[in-house]
Amino acid sequence: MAKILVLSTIGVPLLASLSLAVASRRTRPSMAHHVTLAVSGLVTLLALALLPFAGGGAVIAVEWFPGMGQIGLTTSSTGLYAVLVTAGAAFFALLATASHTQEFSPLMGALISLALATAAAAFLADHFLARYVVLEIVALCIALAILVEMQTRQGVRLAGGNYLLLRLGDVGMLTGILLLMDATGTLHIAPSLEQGLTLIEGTPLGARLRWAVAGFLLAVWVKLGGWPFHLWKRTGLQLPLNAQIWLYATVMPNLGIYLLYRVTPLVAMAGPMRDVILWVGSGGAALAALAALRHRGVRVSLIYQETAQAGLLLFVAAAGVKEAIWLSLFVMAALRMLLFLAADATRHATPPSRQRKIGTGLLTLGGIMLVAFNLLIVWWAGRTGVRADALFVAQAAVALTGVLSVHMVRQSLEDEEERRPRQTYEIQWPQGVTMGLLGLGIVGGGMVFGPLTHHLMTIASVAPPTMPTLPALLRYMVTTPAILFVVGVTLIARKMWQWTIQSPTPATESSEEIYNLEEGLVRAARALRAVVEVGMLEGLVALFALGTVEGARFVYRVVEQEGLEGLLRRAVQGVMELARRLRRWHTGRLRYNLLWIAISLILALLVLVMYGG
Amino acid sequence: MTLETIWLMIILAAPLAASLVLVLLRDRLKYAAGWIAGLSAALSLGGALALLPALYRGQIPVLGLRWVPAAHIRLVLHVDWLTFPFLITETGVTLVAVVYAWGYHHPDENTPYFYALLLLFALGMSGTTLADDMFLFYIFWELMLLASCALIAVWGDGERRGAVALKYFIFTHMGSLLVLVGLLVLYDATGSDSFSVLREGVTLAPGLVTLVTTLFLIGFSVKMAVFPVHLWLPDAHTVAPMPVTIMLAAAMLSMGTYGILRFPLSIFSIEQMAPFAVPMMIAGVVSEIYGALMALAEEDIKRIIAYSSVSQMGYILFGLGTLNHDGIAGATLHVVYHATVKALLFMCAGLVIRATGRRRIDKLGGLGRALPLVAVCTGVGALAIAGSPPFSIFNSEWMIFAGGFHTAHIGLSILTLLGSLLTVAYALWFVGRIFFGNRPEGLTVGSLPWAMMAPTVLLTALTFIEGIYPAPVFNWVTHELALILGGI
Repeated sequence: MAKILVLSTIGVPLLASLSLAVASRRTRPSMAHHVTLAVSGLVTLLALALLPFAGGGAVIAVEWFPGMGQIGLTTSSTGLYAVLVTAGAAFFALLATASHTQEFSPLMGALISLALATAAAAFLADHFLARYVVLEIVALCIALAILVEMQTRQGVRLAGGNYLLLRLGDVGMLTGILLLMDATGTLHIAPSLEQGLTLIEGTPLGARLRWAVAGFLLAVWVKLGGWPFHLWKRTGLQLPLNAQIWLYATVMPNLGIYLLYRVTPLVAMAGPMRDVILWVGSGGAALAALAALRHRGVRVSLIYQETAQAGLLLFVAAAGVKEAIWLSLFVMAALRMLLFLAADATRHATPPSRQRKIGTGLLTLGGIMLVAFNLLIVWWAGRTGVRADALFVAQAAVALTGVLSVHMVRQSLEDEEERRPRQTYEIQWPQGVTMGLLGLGIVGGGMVFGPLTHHLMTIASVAPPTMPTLPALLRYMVTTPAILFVVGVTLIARKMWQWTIQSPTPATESSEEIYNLEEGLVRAARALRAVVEVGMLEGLVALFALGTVEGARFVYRVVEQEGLEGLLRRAVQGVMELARRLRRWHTGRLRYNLLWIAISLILALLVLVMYGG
Repeated sequence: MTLETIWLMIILAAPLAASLVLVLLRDRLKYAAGWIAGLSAALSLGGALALLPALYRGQIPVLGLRWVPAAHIRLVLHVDWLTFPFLITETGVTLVAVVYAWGYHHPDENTPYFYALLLLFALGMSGTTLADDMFLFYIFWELMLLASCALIAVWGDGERRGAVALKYFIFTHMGSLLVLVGLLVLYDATGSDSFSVLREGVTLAPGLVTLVTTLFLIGFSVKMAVFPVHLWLPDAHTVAPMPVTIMLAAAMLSMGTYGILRFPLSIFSIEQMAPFAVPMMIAGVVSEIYGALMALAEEDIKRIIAYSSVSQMGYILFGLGTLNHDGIAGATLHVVYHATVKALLFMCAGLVIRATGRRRIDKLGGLGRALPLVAVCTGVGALAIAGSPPFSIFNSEWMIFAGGFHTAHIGLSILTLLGSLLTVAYALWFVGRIFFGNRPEGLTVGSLPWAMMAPTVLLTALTFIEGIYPAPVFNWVTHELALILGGI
């Protein structure tokens, strides 16, 4: 029975994907949407039906690649729950957009279904090779989604860039897998990670395994869209809402979180590298949250919010809080969904609208829950005794994500005047119902967070973490210097801004001075973006691209044409010149002066006579 | 004479007889030449496949005769597991190239010569892999060069074809001479010209081992077109008629790999080869990255794919340099898979050139809607060359990378992995520029003959099938490893 259910979990979306791709020209968008919605719902139900079989071994095993061992699909508890969350997210994303299906391409349905099938296979696979293969296919689906929407040079550029970035992550993952396989002799995930854990400390293989950890973390960092790899996630803004929410904001980050969850024990044992990871995580989170404050669009801010979240997760993983990573798979999936849907509702709702207010309310709820969760995981990390400096930055990053949430809510209220009429439409009931369900679920989950966490930890066979009481968490929040510092700076900046704008009779000089200060802050933020985002990052990318192409051309000219070809040409010319001289000498002396031949013959004769005699 | 011996003869006799018939009955076979060539290529492939059961039974089909007894020169052909993957690749590529030529090549009075030379080229490759003695090996090795050179010189594109053919000849002949010197030194030192005898193990002075191995590695690297001895390849691939390009890129390049596997790796022990491991790996990485960079810089679609071969041969050399099971198995797998994918990509390029009359990538674009099937085939080829699963090359790259990480040189292995991103870059750029975006002004699309489409679609399917079902080819290669590495 379990075998049939597992096969169906992967086979049904695969079949749907194939059907939609083959019949894409004859399928109406609404039909494609309904099929994809039904498939995601069915996979969710299949995952639910598999839960009673959770914890079993491999239900399907094949030897695909000779010598690499049996590749199996298991009904591991964590894998099944990951499938459930990911498929459920797809269902909700598609349900929320059920009222505007006209923008849904059948090919997009095929890609979503394919990504669903491969993501399910990735979560259930107990073999690194299988997981790597399906992750690559998910990456391909993500890149191709852009091409489905934009069949222009720009689309090709974006899709290619996304795929390259995701492949960079896969290079990291492959490095990790192969080094781990070399050390442990197996590609089966659980035994390989267990053996890796015993070998990483105090054995000659430790140094190699630390490289493996670095590779895995690069993969996680790229999949989560950590800074500066968030560029691939930004391109998701070109897609319809459902594709963006699920393909760009859910499936790949979930795969990244799940990978991080599996390798967290190795990360925590990575020796000196652990400190680097702590700093990369916390610094990346703070930088992303700070950069997000500059943006006006809520959807863009949300992407940066996720980037900051990636940093915090990496920090928590380096601190060794595995349970926080496992928990974030569920919490983040729900919060992401709610935040993106609410942001869309506030962006598009016809003003003045009750739905818009509800959207803003849900955005606020999502923001509060996100900050609370971040506070909780950093609190857990702090209890493990991590470096104080990295912890300080991580706490500041949590505060900045809070500021960012407030910033987004304010933006959603302020943007109304700037909205053009064609961008507004009535939010239909499916989106409203979905947001309501998610909001209720999140509030309910928050109310029973303790027992829920306990249940989820039991599933993952992890000891439940110490759960702080709400007052204790609040006390932590108001007594943490980093949080107080960020909140204080923000309040001062805010106050100055308000004073500048609202002062009825500001002294021109003073106002100008303060305005200049505000403007200076804004400019500083812009300068930061210009230097870091555009100047360094995008500039670096552009420079790299330019450098690569120009460098290739330069090398081609210097090495290929002038160097090697030139060398060859000169050598040939030299030989030809020698040949010409020989010919001239030959024709000039021998052809017309047979004396040389006679002399040569006489000399030869003399030699023969002398030696013969 | 056993059945296996007859099949062994057919592999070589079919193309030889067909080329003789085509030359002798040239006037009467203008239109039937392609079919005759196709039939003989199919017979060769069939003959090679028919030997598979014997190999699985543990037999080594041999056909031998004394030729010059006074000089101890014998003509011996044999098929072992090392030969088999290469033999199948060459005969398979020849068949699809001949079928592709039916649509590519307009019949004229010289058509029988064209197909006759194509078959002689194939005969040279098959003979090289089947030969069990040095003399025969070198004869077929040079036949391969002469036939392909004549094809480029006579049927090549553009005014420069003569010069390109000469360059190709000089370069590869220099490589051949190094190989010849290596063979002669080996013969002089061991007193045997039989591969079977040499494989049993030879005892040479260390200096001589170094000399012979160096000669072989450089000589065969020229045939592989590894940086910096690759200069003949871009011009030859670009100027040669497409069926010849397919055979050059997909089959003939593999001869260099075969040579390295057959000579230094089969004859000398791993300990004796160890000093060459790092240089081979470094040369492989450099070639991989350099070829990919050049592919990015090029604008002629045939040259882009040609430079991609330089890059792909880098992977193979890197795999061989690891001197371990995974690396060598991966390198041999890569030969087979690269042949399929490279033939596919050149066929797609040929279809684009035939449909549009253009070959500069900046003059192409937006062809996806006009040529959807070609776009899909090219997309599959590009993804495959980029090492994306579930296509074939992913499997061989996995093995090569795994081999790299089994060595002590993690840095080189990581560099190889990072270099593979450049492959992704040029592959995506290639497909994106040709099939997406707006169609340039004046770009018209003509019809495509079925004979060119059919093998392209077949290879696309094969690329996918080889990817999801790698076991058969993998088994052949695993058998081969026992011959090369003595069961490490």
